[in-house]
Amino acid sequence: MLDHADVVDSLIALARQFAPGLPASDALARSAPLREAGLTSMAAVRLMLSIEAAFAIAIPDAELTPENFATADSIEALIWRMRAN
Amino acid sequence: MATEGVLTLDPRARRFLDLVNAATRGRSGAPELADLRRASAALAEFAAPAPEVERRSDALSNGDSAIPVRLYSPRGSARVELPGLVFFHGGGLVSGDLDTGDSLCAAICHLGRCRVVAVDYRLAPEFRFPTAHEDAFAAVMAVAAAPSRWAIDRRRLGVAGDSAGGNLATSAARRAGAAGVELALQLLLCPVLDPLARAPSRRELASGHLIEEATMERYWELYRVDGLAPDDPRVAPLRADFVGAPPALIHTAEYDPLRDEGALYARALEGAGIPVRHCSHAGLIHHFYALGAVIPTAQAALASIGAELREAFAGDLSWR
Repeated sequence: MLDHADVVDSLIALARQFAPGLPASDALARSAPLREAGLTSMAAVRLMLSIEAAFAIAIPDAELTPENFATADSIEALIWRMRAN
Repeated sequence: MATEGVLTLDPRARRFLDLVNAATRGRSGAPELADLRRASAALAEFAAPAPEVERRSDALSNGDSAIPVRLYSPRGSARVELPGLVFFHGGGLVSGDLDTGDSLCAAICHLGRCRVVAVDYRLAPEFRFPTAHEDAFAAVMAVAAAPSRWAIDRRRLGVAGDSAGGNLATSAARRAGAAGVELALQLLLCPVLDPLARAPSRRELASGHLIEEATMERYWELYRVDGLAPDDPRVAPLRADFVGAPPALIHTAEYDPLRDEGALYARALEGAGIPVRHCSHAGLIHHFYALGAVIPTAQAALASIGAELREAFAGDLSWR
């Protein structure tokens, strides 16, 4: 069973792989805009695929929005929404 | 709903395009040169794991310039003469390098049981027309002049290229042939053949199919020079005569904006009496041969390309 801290830790670790400019502090990294931290469009695709695999979810097309992938926080909200369904 | 015989986009390819389009949405303005180059490098991460082959770094020269190359050999083949391909990576003549083409070259080497000499030709806009085409021609001539240096069987030496590299491959092969240096074959994967983008698929699939028409235009702007017409046969192989062109293996993808120019080129070569095998890969997209990690059917398609290449080199391909 995933708890909140597990999700946040794995998510931040994944985000750091694809957005190398995220702040060193996890607390700051959560709300930092990923694009400004160097997330290119191809890296965003890899991040989306990694998230689906890591959290065993399938993100429907309607949820593939720039807003959902803007920050680690917005991705976390998406993950919990998907897992609730 | 009757779907038999109706071609549709492979579900995994559709999913990949959905992700790419979602990731691209909301990004404003034309991509910068650095973005194009980063995208090329990132795209390479979607290739299936490369088979184990042997790699060796080397260099060729074009005049005073050293052109780095990477030689790929099947494992344990050091002392045997094998068929060979001089390979040119894609990336609009603006991006890409030996690393972005690496897994495709390894796969071609492994599946085709041949050596591959991948050429790190110079890129625009630092080096505009005709540098990439001249580097490509020089590389083909150099390998053809000294095949034993690479343990390549001269009678079974060909060229290969994907996307813009396909343009370099076919242009260099035709020039070599016209100069009396005959080659065994040309392998063209989703080649770019018409800077004027006249074929219908360039409009029908202009956006949302991995390679944007706006990006294609940007590539051309970065490579062209004043006074070079976009239908100059040196950059538009469809406008060239086909004297000296080697037999061709042409692979296009049904959902690739470059689909129609590849098909037109196959027909044009055939019309000129050149043996051609053309395969249009149903349901697949541009660059499919290097997207095996996200599109499983693309991996099968690449395997079939390798098998065809092996047959062609063995001489038992029934050219139609």
